[in-house]
Amino acid sequence: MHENSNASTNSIIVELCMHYAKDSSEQANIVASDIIKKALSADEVALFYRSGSGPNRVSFAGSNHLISLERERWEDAVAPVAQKMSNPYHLTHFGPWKLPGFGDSRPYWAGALLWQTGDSNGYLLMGRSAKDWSREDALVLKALVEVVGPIVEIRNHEEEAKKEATENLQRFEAIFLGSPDMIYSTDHRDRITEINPAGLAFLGYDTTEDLAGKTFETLALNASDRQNLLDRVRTEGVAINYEIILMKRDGGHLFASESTIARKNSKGHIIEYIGIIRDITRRVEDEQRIWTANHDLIEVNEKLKQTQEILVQQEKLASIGQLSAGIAHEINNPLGYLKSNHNTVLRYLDKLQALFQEESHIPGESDQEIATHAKIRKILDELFEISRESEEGFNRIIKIIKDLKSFSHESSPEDYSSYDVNEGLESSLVMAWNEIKYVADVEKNYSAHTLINANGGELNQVFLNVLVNAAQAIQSEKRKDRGLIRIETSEEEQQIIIKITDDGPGIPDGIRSRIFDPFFTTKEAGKGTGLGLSITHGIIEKHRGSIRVIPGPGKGTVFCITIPITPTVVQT
Amino acid sequence: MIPVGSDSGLDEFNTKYSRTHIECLFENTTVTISIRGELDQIASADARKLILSMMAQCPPGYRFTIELGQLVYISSSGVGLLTTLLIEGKKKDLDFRLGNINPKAEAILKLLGVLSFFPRHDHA
Repeated sequence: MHENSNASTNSIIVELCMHYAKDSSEQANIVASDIIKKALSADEVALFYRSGSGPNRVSFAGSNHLISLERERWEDAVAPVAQKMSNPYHLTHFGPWKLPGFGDSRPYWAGALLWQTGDSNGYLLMGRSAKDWSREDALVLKALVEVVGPIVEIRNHEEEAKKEATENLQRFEAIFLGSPDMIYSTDHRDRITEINPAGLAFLGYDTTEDLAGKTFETLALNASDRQNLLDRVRTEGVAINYEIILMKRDGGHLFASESTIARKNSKGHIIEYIGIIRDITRRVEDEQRIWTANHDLIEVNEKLKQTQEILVQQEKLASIGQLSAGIAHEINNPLGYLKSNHNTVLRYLDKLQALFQEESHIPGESDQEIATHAKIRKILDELFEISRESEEGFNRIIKIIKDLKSFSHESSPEDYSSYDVNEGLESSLVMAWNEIKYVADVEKNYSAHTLINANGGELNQVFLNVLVNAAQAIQSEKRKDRGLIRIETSEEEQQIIIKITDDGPGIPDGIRSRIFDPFFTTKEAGKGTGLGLSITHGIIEKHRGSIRVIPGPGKGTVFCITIPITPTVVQT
Repeated sequence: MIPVGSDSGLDEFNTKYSRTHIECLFENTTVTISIRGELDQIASADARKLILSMMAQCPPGYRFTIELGQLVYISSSGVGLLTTLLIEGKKKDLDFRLGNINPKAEAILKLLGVLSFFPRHDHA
């Protein structure tokens, strides 16, 4: 190239650069085409450029507007000549040709690939009719293409990036504004910077300004929950479905499930937290209803079971009570004169024995008399033995009648007075000690307050029955080690609870429901009347309490007695 | 006898959840399960399996206490876990109780209306 040509080329380049520097819009490409057209005396100059996702553009020299081409149109116009231009900035001659749909057919065309990156590329095409493109033209064009190519490429990408950014922004805005979940951001100190309309609605605020600048933890019921969440984000990078309770402006609560991330700068420092919060209040309230229903159901079932047991027991006791009262009454009268007669017989026997003693001391008896005396003594001894057995039988019948009377005994308010359950247990323990001391140790854990209004004598009988039963249960195992009887009292909801636990063999499931039945006993014949626990049950019932027997921990039995602190006297 | 340690799944649980720690203390006729840290949605699901399997091996009449003194966070799933344990405990005739509930967890249980369901076993 000559010096003059160089100067001319440089001046065109300067003009192009100044032009692009002044005009940063896409329109600058049209004027650039005009400059090139003028500089190279071309009849047609066209800049074709496109990117994968962006529009296909053409700027014509002499035109006022940029033209967007459909993809098919672009392919028709450019593809046939573009395939000849595979090397960037390398000038290609072709023609005759016309821009399909634009301009006239020209015999001489020159074109160059400006760039090619994936689906993004650009071409500069020039046509003229007067003369072919000279070598000098080619050099000038190459110099211009080297300037224009990168500028158009960069601007095309910038434009594309801007559009993408705008589109993304619009997309995010749509999500942010339209999301049914709360979306918010806070700065690195967890001060609220943005919150979407759903978030404002959740919490009952009108504008972002109502919350902007407040630390997020001020919205949480427990500030420490928010700190726990942030700690998870800092250490694990994210917190997923973390439940938190937020406070609404009106004082209500919002049960929320939150997922949060942290955005960091290039140095790795957190610059903001971004979170999405879903309102799960309805779900939690549903769960709450299920928990309550399940709990109520199990309580009702338990009460139903207890009530059923009590009803069955009451029914049995009522009929047995009536029967026993009748039997006691009917037996008591003949028993009275039988016992009286028995006592009379005993007195006569005593007298008879005294007379016989006097008679047997008379000296000079014959052998026959001696033999008769010996026979009489033997008969007397047997009569005394029989009487002792009868006495024992009478006493047992009297005890049974007494128990039967006690069983159907009616309490009156006068029988009730202030009674300390702990003291009652202690005195019952003294009474039962003879049964317990050789077989078991006793552990006590008494509550401080066990004062109730009760028929103390009856309750002592209850405790005595249960303690003796516990000792006898342990003894029945004939074990080498000592057993353990644990006595506990506690106060709960205006009731005193007494638990007497033994580590004996326990009560088999099959007979547990029958142990309060009158005359039911597992003891060997003659060792128990089978009325002890029935009476116990009746006494507790009179006190408006309850008695339950449950398996002991691991083994053994627990008698759990509950008595209201102020029972209403039950007329039985 | 309730296995405590590797056989019970405790070690596995505590390794999996760095923010939740469960311990089991077995003493005579008392089982005490301590839950410490944070009982979130995911940990609650595994804790439920773990504690129910311990409960299944517990003979009737035993005291079964869930110690919550060091539980600093509880989710609704955690509350659900406690109510499940309460109901299962009753079904098994266990003396189920909550012990030393952390005030924050207590406030949540109260807010959700279930605090009164639970018998307490608070001690120093």
